[in-house]
Amino acid sequence: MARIKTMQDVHTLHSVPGRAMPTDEGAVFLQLHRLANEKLRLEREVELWLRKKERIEQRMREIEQQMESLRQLAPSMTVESTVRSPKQSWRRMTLEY
Amino acid sequence: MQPTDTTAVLVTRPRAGFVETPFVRGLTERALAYVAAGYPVHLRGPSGSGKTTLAMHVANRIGRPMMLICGDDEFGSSDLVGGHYGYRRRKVIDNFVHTVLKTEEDVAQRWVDNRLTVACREGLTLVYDEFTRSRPEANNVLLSVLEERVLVLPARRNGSSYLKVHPDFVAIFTSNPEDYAGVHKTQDALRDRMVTIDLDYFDRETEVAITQSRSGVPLEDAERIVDLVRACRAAGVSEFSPTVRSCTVIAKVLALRQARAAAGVLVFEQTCLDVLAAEAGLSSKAGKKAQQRRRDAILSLIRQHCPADIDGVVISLARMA
Ligand SMILES: Nc1ncnc2c1ncn2[C@@H]1O[C@H](COP(=O)(O)OP(=O)(O)OP(=O)(O)O)[C@@H](O)[C@H]1O
Ligand SMILES: [Mg+2]
Repeated sequence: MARIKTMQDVHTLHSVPGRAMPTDEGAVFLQLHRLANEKLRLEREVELWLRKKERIEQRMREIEQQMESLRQLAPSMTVESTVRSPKQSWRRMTLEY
Repeated sequence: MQPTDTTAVLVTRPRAGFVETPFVRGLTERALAYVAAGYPVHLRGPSGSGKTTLAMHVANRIGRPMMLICGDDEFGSSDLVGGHYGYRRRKVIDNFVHTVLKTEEDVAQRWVDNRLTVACREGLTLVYDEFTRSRPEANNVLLSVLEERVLVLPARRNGSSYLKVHPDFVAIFTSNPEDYAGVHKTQDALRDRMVTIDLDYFDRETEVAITQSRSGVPLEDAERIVDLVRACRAAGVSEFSPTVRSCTVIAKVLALRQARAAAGVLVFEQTCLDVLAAEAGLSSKAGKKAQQRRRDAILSLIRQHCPADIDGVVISLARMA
């Protein structure tokens, strides 16, 4: 399956790679500060993601349970055609031609 | 049409009078070859050309139980597939905490399969007789059954569902050519999915064999009757092209009355006129005239194909004519 493109695929200024190593001191501090900021941002993002993943998994468990109890309550709502066993009792009638 | 819960399947069996001449065998083998190759077969021909009987025979040779559907103008697709009929009531009584009685009630629609669905699910042989008498919309459900081998069931409360068609499922169709009354033009898409075998009237040998086996008259009489009917058909004297059924009726009456198929035998001539000269409207003067011409033509064909000299003709009967 093709990977779905999200907002994460849009490169911001920070994530554009390929800049040269800074030479003067001021620039080093500036870049350190910038990278620390980015790291912080990414850590927050991971945290958000993990929380979201947890919520999704919780909801999926709820849905599973709900579906299971509905199935027990409503056996007739399942697709009988595919469930019924082929050994059902047929009335057989002979037809002469 | 309200389907029943227990769908009956048919087991076909040839009657004692069923004949398998080289003509019949040839057609059967042809149809079976297409079936084996995985194609639905469509037997098309005029009334009395043996479509229905041949379809049953092919179904019998396939060896699976059969579902029979007869085309009908009133048909909707639920008559083929099934539908929701009535409601089923369910009650849940929860008395787990015995001081609290909780009851829950709800209704669910009851789904009932119809013949096409049963045939697809169980891998039966479906014979759809005179399928062009049903409206094309009703038959649309067959398109995916024949091509993708998937039966799409109509929407239920939880969306539509589908059924994978059993690998043993085979479909045999019959129809009259399209110029017949009460027949809908076959949809091209549907016809494109089947192999059509065009049937004509039986050959002489088969007509004689059927006439004889269905009535029990001597071979010579069967031959005379068949030749007479075929001559009427070729000359176009009857309003409706007479079929092997006409041969069988005449032969059965002869057998019952113990008469022979010979010119001058009253019972024979009378029966031939009744069966072969029948006409829809006779009231007008012109109609009566046409009827007289028809009867004269038939009587002359009787003299030609069923001459009076036949062994053992009861002379007294002949004289009476
Ligand atoms: N092989 C056979 N052996 C004996 N009888 C047969 C055979 N084939 C057909 N018949 C008889 O011939 C007659 C016509 O056959 P059938 O009903 O199959 O024709 P049809 O093409 O389906 O006609 P219609 O279009 O009117 O339904 C029937 O009485 C049938 O019993
Ligand atoms: Mg028929």
